[in-house]
Amino acid sequence: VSAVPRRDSPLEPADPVALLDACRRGDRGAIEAVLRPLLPALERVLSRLVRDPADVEDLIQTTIAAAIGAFPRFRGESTVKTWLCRIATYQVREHWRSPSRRRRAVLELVEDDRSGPHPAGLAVAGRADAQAEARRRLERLYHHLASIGANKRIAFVLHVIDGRPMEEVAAIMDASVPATKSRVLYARRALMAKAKRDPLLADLAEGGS
Amino acid sequence: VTSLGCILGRGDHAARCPRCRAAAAQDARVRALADAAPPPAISTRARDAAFARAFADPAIAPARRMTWLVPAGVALAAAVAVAVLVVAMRGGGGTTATAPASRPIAAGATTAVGHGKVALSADGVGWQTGPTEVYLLTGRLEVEVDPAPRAPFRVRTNDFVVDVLGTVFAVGADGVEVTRGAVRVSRPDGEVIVERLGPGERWDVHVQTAVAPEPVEEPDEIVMDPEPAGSPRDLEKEIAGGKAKLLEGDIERARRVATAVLAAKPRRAVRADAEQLLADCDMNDGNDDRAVERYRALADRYPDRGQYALGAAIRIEHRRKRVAAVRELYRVYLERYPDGVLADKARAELRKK
Repeated sequence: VSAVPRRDSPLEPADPVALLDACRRGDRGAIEAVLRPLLPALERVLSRLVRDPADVEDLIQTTIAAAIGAFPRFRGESTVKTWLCRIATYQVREHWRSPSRRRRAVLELVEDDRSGPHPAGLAVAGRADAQAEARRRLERLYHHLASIGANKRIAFVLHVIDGRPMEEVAAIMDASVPATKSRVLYARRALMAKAKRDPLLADLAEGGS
Repeated sequence: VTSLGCILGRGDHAARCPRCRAAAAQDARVRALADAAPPPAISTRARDAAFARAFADPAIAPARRMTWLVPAGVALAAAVAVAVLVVAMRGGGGTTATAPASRPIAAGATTAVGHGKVALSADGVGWQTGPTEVYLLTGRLEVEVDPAPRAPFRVRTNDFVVDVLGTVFAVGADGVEVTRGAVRVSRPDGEVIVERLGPGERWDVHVQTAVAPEPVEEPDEIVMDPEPAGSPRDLEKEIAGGKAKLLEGDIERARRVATAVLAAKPRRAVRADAEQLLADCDMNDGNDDRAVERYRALADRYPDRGQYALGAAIRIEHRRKRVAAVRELYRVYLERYPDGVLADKARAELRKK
């Protein structure tokens, strides 16, 4: 832990053991000093899993709140970052189960095709088009992913989309590496079966069995 | 076909195995697509605000945003990560103890709260937010409470609130079930969802209506389980281990793991995993009748796993050349999942004479 505690914490910044002990005792200054630097990593995990920024914001809050309450049970068997990401995946599972979430429709602002060429030139417009197309395809991909079981989906997103090594994903999910591999395998198989039938994503499934 | 080598990936398997090479190519294409459209970032200010809210009072619910709901006016239903079990015990005078505004409840232990006692599961996170009020963020809570009508006991979650009006009831992730006495279920903003839920009735969070299930025999005495509920995290790990055992071919060990996990009365998702593992064990063991029975039960109980379960049952019956059973399963599949992975195949099979 390299975080520097706030001034109201009596801890020396160079004493990570004492810092973690203080976190376990519920010292909020210490907890904040440990968790705040991990916010970008937490946001990255959450935004890969849920994408909607508003949901990410809510999940940051619930994850941090859960971490504050759970710190007394942090045994130090993994890094704080891995432990926090694990809590985040629990929160995401619950979020996916939420009936209110399932009822919600996300409305996005889309550019008007009739607005004419981009003033900065065709190259910029072409880039924007390509990005819009990629976004559309990725939304379809996440739509298909949504029908896959939570554990398989999380393993797949963290390993394939976020590019994390299988061992790291296994540590985050508190599972064995073979179990994590099988989750990714099953998720990939289910996803590619759907992609094959989807004209927007059929190319992703090329070469598969 | 799942290869054990693909899972274990020893040596240069990944380089030699055509399936693994194809999978790696597919992964690369998916990753490239994801990189081309990175997720929208939230502002640093919004991130810091969420962080601060968690610190200001961990027991507060996420600030509600203006959100489009479909259909408009649909109530914000429970989105809770909790299974609360509240058990009332003998009557008696209430207390007027003053509790701190927000005090963490120790996980894996029993804590006195007002005129009651709460036992938070080892994986749970909760706070006492009033003299007789508990907020549960996640996990499972068992409560013994004196019914004391002048001091109602309240269990609050992010999305619904349960007030003890009578004696014995249970609140789970899927709703509230009353064993004895009565409860009131409300939204966090105070709007009453169910004024009085009586014995034998339950409220389902997904359908938002109260229903009366089959009558159950009430126990003579309610005894709080001295052991906190098993940690879902540990049980998930056990199930993952059981699946790995099955992949390794150790069917008996996998079956024992699944049975042990079920005995621990886990939450729904873990229970579904365990039941699925038992069915997978039977299928791998050649116990086809039992496997089909289990898969069909799995599909009925857990619609989110129905496609897998019905697909597995279809494969078994297809292998056994039981045409009528296959058609019946396809018919069920099509009814439930008209856009499912097997829907086209089901239609084609059902068109055959």
